[in-house]
This record gives sequence, structure tokens and C-alpha cells, in this order.
Amino acid sequence: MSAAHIVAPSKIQSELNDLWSSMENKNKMRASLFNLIFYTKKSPRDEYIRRITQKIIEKFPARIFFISTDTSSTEDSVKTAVSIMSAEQGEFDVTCDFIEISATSASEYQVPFIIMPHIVPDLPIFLLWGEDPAKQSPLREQLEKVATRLIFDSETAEDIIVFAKSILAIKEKSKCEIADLNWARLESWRDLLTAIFNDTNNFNRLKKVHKLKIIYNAQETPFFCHTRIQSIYLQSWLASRLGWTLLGSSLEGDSVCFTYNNATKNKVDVTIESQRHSNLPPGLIVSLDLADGENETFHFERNIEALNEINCSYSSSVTTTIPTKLLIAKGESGQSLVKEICHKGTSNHYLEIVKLLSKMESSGIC
Amino acid sequence: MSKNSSHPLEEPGMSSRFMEPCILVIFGATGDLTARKLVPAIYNLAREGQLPPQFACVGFARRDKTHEQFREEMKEAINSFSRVKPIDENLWSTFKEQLYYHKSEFHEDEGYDRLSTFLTDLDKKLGTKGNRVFYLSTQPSYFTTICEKLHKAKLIYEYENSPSWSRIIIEKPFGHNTESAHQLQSELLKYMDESQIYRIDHYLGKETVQNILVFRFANSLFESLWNNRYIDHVQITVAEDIGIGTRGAFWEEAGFLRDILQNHMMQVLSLVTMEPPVSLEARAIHDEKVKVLEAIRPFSREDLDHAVVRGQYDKGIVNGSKVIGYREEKNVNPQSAVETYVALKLYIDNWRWAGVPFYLRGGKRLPKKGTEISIFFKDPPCVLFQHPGMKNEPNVLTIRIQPDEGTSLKINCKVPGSSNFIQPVKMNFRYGKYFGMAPPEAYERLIQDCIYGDNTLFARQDEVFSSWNLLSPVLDHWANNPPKDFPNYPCGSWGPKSADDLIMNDGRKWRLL
Repeated sequence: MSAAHIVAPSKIQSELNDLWSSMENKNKMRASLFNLIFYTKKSPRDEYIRRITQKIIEKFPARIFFISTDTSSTEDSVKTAVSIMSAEQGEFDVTCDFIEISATSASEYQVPFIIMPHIVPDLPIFLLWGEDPAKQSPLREQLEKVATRLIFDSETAEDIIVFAKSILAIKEKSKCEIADLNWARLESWRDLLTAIFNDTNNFNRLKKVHKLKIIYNAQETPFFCHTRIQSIYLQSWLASRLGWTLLGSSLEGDSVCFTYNNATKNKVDVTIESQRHSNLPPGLIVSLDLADGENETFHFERNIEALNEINCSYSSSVTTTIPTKLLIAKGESGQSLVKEICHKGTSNHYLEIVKLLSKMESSGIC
Repeated sequence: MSKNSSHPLEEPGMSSRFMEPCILVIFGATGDLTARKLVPAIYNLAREGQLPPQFACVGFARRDKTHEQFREEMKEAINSFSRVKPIDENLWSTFKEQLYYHKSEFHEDEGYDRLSTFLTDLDKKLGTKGNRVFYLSTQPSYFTTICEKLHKAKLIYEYENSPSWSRIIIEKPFGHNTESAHQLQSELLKYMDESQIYRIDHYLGKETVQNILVFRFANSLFESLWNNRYIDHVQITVAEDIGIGTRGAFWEEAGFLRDILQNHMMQVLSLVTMEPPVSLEARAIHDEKVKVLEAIRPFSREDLDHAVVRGQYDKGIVNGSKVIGYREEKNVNPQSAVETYVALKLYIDNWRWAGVPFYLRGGKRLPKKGTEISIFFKDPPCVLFQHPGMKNEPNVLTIRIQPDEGTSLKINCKVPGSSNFIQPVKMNFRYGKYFGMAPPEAYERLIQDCIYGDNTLFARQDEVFSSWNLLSPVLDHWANNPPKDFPNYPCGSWGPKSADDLIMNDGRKWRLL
């Protein structure tokens, strides 16, 4: 990434033009497939959002607007800077415009006016809102009006149930596509389970499941402190797909328990348990066990030496299979994550889990 | 030479046109337009050898000034506003000798007599042969007075039987409604022939506006789709980020509809929608423009409430700076009901355009400057590539008139990879990049055309009347129903909410510039 040039808002375009003129004959290719607006409050997490930016442009170059708000300042001032961000891949370096806007709480109202003239027409506008959507934000409401896709990160949620209600409310009034980073991170698990239970026999076994246990990495980092969300999403997805009815939820130490009635009115117990691995990404699902009342068990366990490997085994009272090694996409950094964020429409499965979560009592499960 | 026959040295069908010697007289020579546009345009024509060898420009205004003072002011103007800067001193030393100043009141007979003598002397000195272009860059209320006085001083010649020619360029607005436009026309016809009147609309001098006809009729690809079978709707936007500046008094009289929509936007609309002319002769093009303007469905009483939206800017932020609202501007009534924004929907009831809505919008103090035409094509008939919960974007052809002149086409494209995700991408043609030169200013082309006697790029009387016929009822309706919500959009926004509602109620949305 080139050094940031601090400029007045009125000089953003001319400064970018100058920057690009200086790049001529340097094997740089200017590209933009969409407008990508990031918003975050100034915090250590800011750095994490920048990393996501880098990942996205490695796959899909975009004109990037990076808004950060310093909530500790009371000044009514906005600083703008421009630079060129590089995908740093290949002989021809694909590069993008990077427009940085540093605001304060008092000056946030100016931000849409600064961004609006610099949107690349005709291209989609993605808004990655790096804050809890449950909190009212006039800035978000303004940006939502022009966005074609809203990307939220449930990691920012103070309460996942309130978050879910907010997502539904936003979906109700906005015509935008909605994506969620944590839902996107689960894509590899969803694909794997879909593949395993694709045949009728296995799916019938899945329908009879009475116990579901998920173990996840509860090791927090400065960027991640709600490590349980992916696991909650995964069990909610299974529950909604299998037509389970929620009976209750409870928090027991580090574990969360959910109780459902399945489609045949039999009880299903779901347990989400934590482990701590400092070398694994926070929130990562380490293992998944599905068991029915007749000692039939599916066991999925991640190889913590090779994170895209899942060992899968099945056992019953009469048979045990040799564990099979399955490869899954690298959900954290791969193209699939970016595609999930940027190109898929609003997932109905996601909306169903959000609906399910929104019906829960707020009990501090996350 | 007579007006219509070609020069014996001119080869028919070839591009060269013969420019006859002449004197250009600018009325209102101390005004903004002269300094910002007209004299820089004449200078650039001289710089590119596009003026007749025998040529002079005389500034006519009320202030006391010597030729030398006028020249110095114009030099400064060229240095500030010319598209090519700084001024070429060598060229200037010759060019300045062609600039003169004449002081007179617009209503003073004696001033015109002195002008006549002065011009005759210049003819003798420069060989300009009595040919005249009178450019009326004054307030509209002076138009008839000036023409009457010019006629009285025998400076406007008979069109048919005179060895020399005289032409009048009239700035917009031509009237302020249907009635006043007719009245002005009948006044002017007392002193001259219609063919001597050049109603200037500088939009028509822009390269990109001229390119509309080339784009449509020199490319079979687009013209074959240019109809209601393939086009869903059309948007025409004229956005300005600036406010009204020092023109408060003018705006209080005019407003956006009269200043921009009635002329520039309606002209652009007519070029986008007209049928192919039988030739590139001025008359053939004007005839087609009038036909399509007359095919626009008049606004019903209900349309006036729902299909036309007006707005006025409130304080806000443009280009990162806080700016004041319209009612705080100098020479503006603090309770003003004048519109600085208009959006409307109209239909053209002819074979080609039946059922296709045209959305026009424009305003002051919007987020960015930009004039463009966007053609939204209908969705393809099948839904092969419709991802659940996701609708593909329509193809959009955008003709950018200013700035960044050019054309872009939005098409859907497969995202690389194994899945069938589709994303809109843009093919972009940019005049500046492709031809590598700044296009001439609109005024250069138009002044040159007037000297040639070619009125293709000027508005004909019936075009102006058709446009007023459509829009005068809107003005009447507004006059009878003062706005209740002004100011209704902050500076730096894309206009009032009612303008969004206008298009969103039809399931569409304004294109972001």
C-alpha cells in the first residue's frame, strides 16, 4: 500500500489522479469491480478490518472507502487521505483506490457527503458495517440508502439475540442484500454437512439425532471476543433445516445448552463447549458430534495441524467406519469467504437462523 | 456570396467550410459570460486558425471604457478562463488589435448610430465586408429593445436582398413561458427573418451532445435497440455541485426549470428520442426534434402533483465544506419559493417510445457535477442466471455529457470461479483518454457555426414553443400552489425525498453518478 496522502475532501479525486499519473509505466493495473465502504470505530479491531480489506482486494479489486470514527474526540473535524492499495500478486500488480476518512462522533454526519461524489457509478456498493447494527446510527442509515449490499459482522454484537432482531428489522425495510461475516466463515462446514448427509440413509439418520455437541476455540484475541457465535450459528442452521422447535436455552459455565423438539416431537439436546487453543483462530469449530438414541454417532474433528482437514467417522452398535479425511475450503481467507460476502444473495438459510435466534430469550448466550 | 450557395473553391461533401469576413458585436460585454466564455472562445478559435482572416470583435456595454482597458480585461479573462492557458503573447499581440469596445446605453438611438459608423470604419480598415454577428448576452428584457435599435440604425439587413449578412445570437431563456416566448418571437420578426435568429443553447455545442446523433445513427448496434421493445426507461440528469453564486437576482426570476430544464434538458431529450432525420441539413434535424417534442404527453392535473417534483437546497456540505442554503444566498428572498431542483417523469406518445418513462432530474448543490443520459434496458426474458434472492442488474448505457465526457455500458459478467455468480461490470469509453485532446468549448463551435451561417446546433422557434407548451402548465401550477416544504434537501444530497419516491414508486431508482 502506498503512503497515505492527507488531502482536503475537495481534492480527493485530483490527488488520486496525480497518484495514478505517477504510477504510469510501473506495471500497475488500476481496477475496481465494486465500491467497498468499511465502517469501524477506532479500536484495535480497526487493524482486523484492514486485513479483511486486503483479503478482499486480492480476489476482487474495489474502490475502498475506509471510515473510522474516533469516539473519544469531541471535535467536529474530518480528515481524509488517499492512497493506492495493492493486491501484491503476480507480475501485473492489480491496485485499487483507497480513500480513508477519519471522523469523530460529532463529525460523522459529514461522511456521506464526502463519500457520495466519489462512488464509482454503475458498480455495486457494498457496505461492511464493522459495528453492532443494534445500535442506532444515522450514518449507517444514510449509507444504507445507496448500498446494494450490507455486510455485518456478528462478532460486533453485544447480544446475539438483539443482533438477530436488528438484522430482521433491517431486512424488512431495506432492499439490500445482507451478508454476515460469521455466516460466511461457516460456509465450509455447511458444505461439508450437506455433502455428507446428501443421501437418503444418512439424512434419515440426521433427522433422528438426539444429541449435538460442538466444541469451539474460545481463545479470545483483541479482535475477537464473541467466540461462540459460529457454533451458535451452526447449531441454529441445523435446527432450522431439520424443523426443530426451540424449547429453551441455558448457560452453564463456559458451555451453552439448547433444547429443541425435533420434527417428530422428540427432544434434542445441543451442547456448545469451549476449548482454548492459542494457535487456532478464535471461534473456530474444532469438532462436531451428532448422536441418536440408538448409539449411532457421526464425529467430525478438525485436524488442528492442517485446518482445512476434517476427519469424519461414523459408528453404531454394529459398525464403525475408518475415519475419512475431508478437505474443506480455507474459510478464513479463501475465495469462498469473499464470494460469500460479496456475491451471494441474501441467504434464506441465514435469515431462518436469524429468525430462530430472534425468538430466544436474551440470556447472555453470547 | 449569397447565404445558401457554396463557395466556388469549396468541394461539395468535403469537410471544409468557407468562413466569410465579419464583425462580432457582443452586447453585455462587461458581463460574466463575455469574460468567462465568449472572449476565451474567440481567442481559442483564433489560436486554432478557425476565425476568418478579416475579423473583429466589438464589446458593447454601458460602462465607460477605452479599447485598451477592454483589451486588458479580456486578456485577464483569457488567462483565467481559457481552456488553454497561459495566453500566447505572440498571438495576443495580433488578436488584441481585433478587439474593440463601444460604450452606449442599450436604449439610446445615438449609440447605435455611432456603432454603425464605427463598424463601417472597421469594415474599411479590416475588410470585414459589412457582415455582422450580434451576440445578445444581456438580460432578456433588453432583447427586443436592442433588435429594434439595431434595425432602426440599419444594422440588421434584409435577409434576401443584401450583399452582406447580419445574424443575431440570442441567449436563453427565450421567454419565460409559452405566451412570452410567442410575444418575443413576434417582436423579433418585426426586425428580422427567422433564419437570422440563432437561439443559443450551449449544450448543443458540446461535443458529447453532438455525438448523440453519431452514436445513434452511425452504429447499427444501438439504434436497433433504441425503442420500447428493449428499453425499460431513460434517465437524464443535470447535476451541479455549485450553488447560484452571485446570480441571486436572476435565480429569483428564473429558477431551475426555466434556466436548465426547459432548454438544455429538453434539447438533450429531443436528440435522444428523435427519429433519424432524412439528412444532416439543419431543417431536417429540427423537423425531427420538433416532432418528438410535440409527441410528449402533456401533464395532466394529477401528473402535476405526482409526476413533477421541485426542490430547494438547504444548508449542507459540498466537497467537504459547509455551504449555505438557497434562502441565505445574496439577493434571495428569505422566504423564496424558487426551485433549485426539478425531477419529473414524462412519456412520449409515439410508435418508438410508447410506454417508456423518461425521468429527468437536475439541481444545484448536488454531490457532484455531472450531466448524463442513462438508457436502462429491459431484463432478459429468461432467468437462467438468477441466483435465489438476487436479481441481476439491468444493462445501462450511459452517455456522459460532462465532465469526463464519454460513454459507458454496464453489462453482467460471470465472476471467475466454479460458481455462477454474476456481477455488473462496466465498459468505459472516455473522450479525453481516447482522442488525447481537450474538446473545444461549446461556445467556440457555436460562434463558428453562426459565422458559417449554419443553425443546426441552435434551437428553432418551434422547438422552443413545444418545450414551453409542455412546461408552462407546470410553472402555472407551481405559482398557484406554493411549496410547503422548502427548503427540502440539504446541499450535498441527491435532492428531496419526493424525487426518490417519484421513481421508486415505479420500482426503479435513480442512477448514482
